[in-house]
Amino acid sequence: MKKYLLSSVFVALLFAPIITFSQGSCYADQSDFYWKISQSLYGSKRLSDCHPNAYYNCHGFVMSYFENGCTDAGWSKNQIAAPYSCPNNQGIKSAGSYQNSGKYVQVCSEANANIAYYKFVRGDHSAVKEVSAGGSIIKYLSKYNFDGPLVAHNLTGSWYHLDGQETVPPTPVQFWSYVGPILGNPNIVGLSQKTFNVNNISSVTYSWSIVSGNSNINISSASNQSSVTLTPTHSGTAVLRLNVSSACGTVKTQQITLNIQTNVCLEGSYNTGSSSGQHLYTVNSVPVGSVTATVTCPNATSYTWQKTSGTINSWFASGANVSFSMTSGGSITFSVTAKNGATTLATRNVTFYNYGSFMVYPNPSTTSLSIDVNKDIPFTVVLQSFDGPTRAEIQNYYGESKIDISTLKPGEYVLYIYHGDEIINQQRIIINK
Amino acid sequence: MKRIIGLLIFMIVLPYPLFSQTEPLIKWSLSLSGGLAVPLAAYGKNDPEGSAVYNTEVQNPWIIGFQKGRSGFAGMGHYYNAELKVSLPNSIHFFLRSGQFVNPVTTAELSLFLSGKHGIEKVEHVDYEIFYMTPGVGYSKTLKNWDLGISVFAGYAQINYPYYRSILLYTTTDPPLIWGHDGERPRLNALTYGGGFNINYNFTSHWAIGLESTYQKAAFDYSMTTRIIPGFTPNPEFSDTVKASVLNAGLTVGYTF
Repeated sequence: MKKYLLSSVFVALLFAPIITFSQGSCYADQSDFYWKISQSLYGSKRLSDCHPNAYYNCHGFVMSYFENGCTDAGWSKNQIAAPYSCPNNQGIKSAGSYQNSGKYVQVCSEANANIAYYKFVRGDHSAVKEVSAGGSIIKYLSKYNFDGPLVAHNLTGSWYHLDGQETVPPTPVQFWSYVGPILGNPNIVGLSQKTFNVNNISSVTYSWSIVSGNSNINISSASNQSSVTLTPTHSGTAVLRLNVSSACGTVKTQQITLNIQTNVCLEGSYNTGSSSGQHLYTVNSVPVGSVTATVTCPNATSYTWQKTSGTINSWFASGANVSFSMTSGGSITFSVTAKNGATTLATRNVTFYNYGSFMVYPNPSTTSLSIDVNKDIPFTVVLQSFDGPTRAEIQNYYGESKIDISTLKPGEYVLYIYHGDEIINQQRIIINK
Repeated sequence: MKRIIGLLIFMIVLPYPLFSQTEPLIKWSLSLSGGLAVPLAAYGKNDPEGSAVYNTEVQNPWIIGFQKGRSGFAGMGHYYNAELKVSLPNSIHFFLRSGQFVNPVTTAELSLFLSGKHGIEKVEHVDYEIFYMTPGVGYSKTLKNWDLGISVFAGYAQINYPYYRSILLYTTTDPPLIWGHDGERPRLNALTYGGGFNINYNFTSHWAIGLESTYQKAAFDYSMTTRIIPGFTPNPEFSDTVKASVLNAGLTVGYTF
């Protein structure tokens, strides 16, 4: 008996009642009076009743409206049967969800906008702008969160304004416009030009760029347009970026990854110890160490590699791949052929070389000096004195040959080594007499 | 819970064989107690400004809640408790305490704080109701009819969801809009521990009355998502901890079998 009493005390304490408040999906009062909907009083009109399945808020409605093809309600239409038709709706979102997506940009005027963004004392709101009757009717569509109706109203005639939530003056904080996603097929086949575009909005600045894979594709259209034309050059991937901005707000960015397949026979790439996926050009500068190159060719059934020149004698070919170890100042040239059965599809010459160590010897020098660079490639060497106008330029310098410096004044010099127009090395040397 | 009860049974049953061959000096007793529950530390702090949580995802952050870990706003409350105790001949006793302490929440400062920022508001808050079940061990000293004891305990505690809301009286809708948590309100569980002392007077061989004081702590983690209801977007969820810390002081009445 005692145990039963004791147990009863504990059980009673365990299930002590707690105070709670009720909650639900749609707010209990959905009347026009509560939500301040009246065409004659406030210029507003109910477009759709609240419905538990229409589980999205104002920001989610904006995104659904533009990105998921919500049924266009429109001011002139009758009430749409609930739930308002937003297939694949975006649910509950914050304003930042669309404002930071890169697909929307803040604009300076209502004329260029299709979204109004309001900031209240302790919340914010977004509404979709709709223009009808040839521009004579401008209304904003507001979803009053998931627990309220969808309403069309005047710019400053939302329930939030009428309820006293808005600070004075009751105007939208910002106007926004839908730029949209970058449209175009990101899977590019062939070498023909491709066009990508977004919505064209007046007063918006468009800046397109290739932020990675620059060597695979080029921008070939004029700047500041809502569309961009790209010219593929090599197979691989690239990232196309779009920055949009206006005189108001900050720059918004979006980008897409492009997969490029040019279908050029004997196009290829190579890997070294320090990099991978480098494009295979006719002449390729590579570092000392292992190099592996691969070529591709549509419809090829076999590949043959043949060394035609160079100082590197050890190499290994297997199918579309060739590998060797590059030495300092070394070089090797292959002739690679792609065949389909007995039919030759294409032949290409590919050269790999290493510039060398660039070591200058002797240093200090007196009458002549040499540079450890590739013996098969012509370089231009420039000597520029530190303290005066003394300058010497040697064209077509090849590795191990000597440079006569007997006529140069003693002192410190900067030695520049050019390959073509590019400075590939510079260092300080001393000339003694 | 099963483990705690199992451990308790083990602790109570274990001493039996040790003393069963001697006089029946093991005493069982049941006591009830109740009194004041005084909130301490952050639990009893009342600082709306220092505990306000803001939405930092927007340009001009607005308040989305209050960190109860910084200010619990708990006021003076009460407690009631039942204790089953087994006393051993060596002055050691084991016990199981179970009870609840209730602290109302001070809302005047919160209402004033929010009204100063937005317009007239009225904050409502459920009372903190903390149920506990704690086994423990203690030491008692008997002086004639008086028993003096100290004890420590640790166990399980549960609190109701620390729900609050503010009625936005400055809005013009009828009824006014409500700002508050919109989501599940589960009861929260935590480990609790504490200690105390008591002094009892045995006025018969079975009945005793006395005074007791205990200090008890528990930290209840929860998350909250507020919004203005209806029509407003939910604010970002934030996490918080109710750091209950109370000094209970009250009267006891006990019966020894």
